[in-house]
Amino acid sequence: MWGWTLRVVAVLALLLPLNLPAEEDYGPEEWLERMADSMHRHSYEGTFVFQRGERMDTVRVVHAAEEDGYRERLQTLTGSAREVIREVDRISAIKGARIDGGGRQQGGAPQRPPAFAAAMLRANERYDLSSSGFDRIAGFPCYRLHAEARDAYRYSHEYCLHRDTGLPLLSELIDGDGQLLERLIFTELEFLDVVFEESLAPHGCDARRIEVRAAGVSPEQQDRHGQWYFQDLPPGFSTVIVTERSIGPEEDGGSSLHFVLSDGLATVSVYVDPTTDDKETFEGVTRSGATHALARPLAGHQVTVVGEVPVKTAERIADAARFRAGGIN
Amino acid sequence: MNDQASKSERLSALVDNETEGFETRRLIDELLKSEDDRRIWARYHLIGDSLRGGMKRVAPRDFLAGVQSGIADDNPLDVHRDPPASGRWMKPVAGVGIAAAVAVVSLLGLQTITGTDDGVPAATVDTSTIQEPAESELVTAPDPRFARYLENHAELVAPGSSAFARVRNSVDGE
Repeated sequence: MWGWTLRVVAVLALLLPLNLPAEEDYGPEEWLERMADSMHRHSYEGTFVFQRGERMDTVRVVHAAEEDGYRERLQTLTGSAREVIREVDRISAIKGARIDGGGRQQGGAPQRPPAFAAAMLRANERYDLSSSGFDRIAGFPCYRLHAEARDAYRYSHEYCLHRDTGLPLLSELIDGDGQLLERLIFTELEFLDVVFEESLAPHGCDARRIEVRAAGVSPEQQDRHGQWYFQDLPPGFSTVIVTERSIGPEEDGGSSLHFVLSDGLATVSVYVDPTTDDKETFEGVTRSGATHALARPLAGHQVTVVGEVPVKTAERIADAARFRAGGIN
Repeated sequence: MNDQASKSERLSALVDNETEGFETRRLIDELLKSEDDRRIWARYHLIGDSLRGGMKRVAPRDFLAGVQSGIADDNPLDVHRDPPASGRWMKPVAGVGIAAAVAVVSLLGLQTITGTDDGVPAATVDTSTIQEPAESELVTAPDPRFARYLENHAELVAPGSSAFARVRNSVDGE
């Protein structure tokens, strides 16, 4: 009896990859990288609750990870019925902007979502990463990860990452006073080996389709990009993507110059649109949950800053925008 | 009475993630059909959040109904206050397309338009619940053009950020 058991144990010992780190051995930075990869690696279906201030909404999601990106269907379960079918390209596989189902161009997507960049976090040292160990959400064990902002230019983040995949089962944004700004938490989740097309198909005729595609950049666009730069950005922020995106109805024509800035966790978009008339410009600030948007005219252009950052960060980024008519010499 | 007690227990279990897959789906289906159930369910969430210390502010009891009516509300200018003369950030917009902006931005809507003299927002005002703003607070309507940029940015942000949940609405009404 013992001999048989020992033989089994010996065989198992040979088969088990003992040199691979267990989830318990990952550090906070490795967990951030796992989180960044999770959306491209895993398919799932579930329900999450999104809390923002005093409002709470429930959303059903089907997420299909594919070789060249991912597709997902999101549907509200509370409040007004809304549905979105979203396709996100992983790499620049298509040259030029595409036309989406609604007839709008959606070019200029990031080749890699910039919100997670452990390398930037390490370089910037703008967050203190820590963990309180493992927790449990939606029936799954998850790793608590706290990224505490070291200054007032960014919010703190709290995550609970699925132990086996790194998928964020909980995501929170917290301001400098410890106030919860936004919370996303899964209440039910099932990982899928196969995602059927039917489950990604719109259930309602008014479903919104969003395609996020990488696009090529023409020489003319490169010239336009060279006319704008940033000086004295908030600490830790740098430009990670420069591209062009169509904003608004197709009949408006044209596209916005789109800068994406990041400090490794926070993402800020800066849109630059040429204007020919003062009436076209607008200025002010607005807020949607933890997202601030600030607009102002600058050098015959409309500059709009949008990001999950405090308003003073958006303001400083707008202040940092510079225009040089001649472009890069 | 017993049925209601049983339903409450099941909803409580749903909030605590203690229901199995089939039961979860059934409860969600029932939630979709019953406003009373949604109210109970929301209340349990708030209780749980409060117990865990995550809820910093108390939501009104009817906030879910407010969410529904607020999104559909075509008169968000109810939150408008006279902008003070020192409106550093605010440039009042002549009431154009505000309703469309609220409907367009996302599932969750444009929540608030506030600012103070130092540029730091002090409180929130949304279309479903109206808080009494601080005296120093400026409140005005947003320029509807903000909505497009907020939408576009939300498309960019990936899961892991709570912006993931900003499922936007159709822009047909724009």
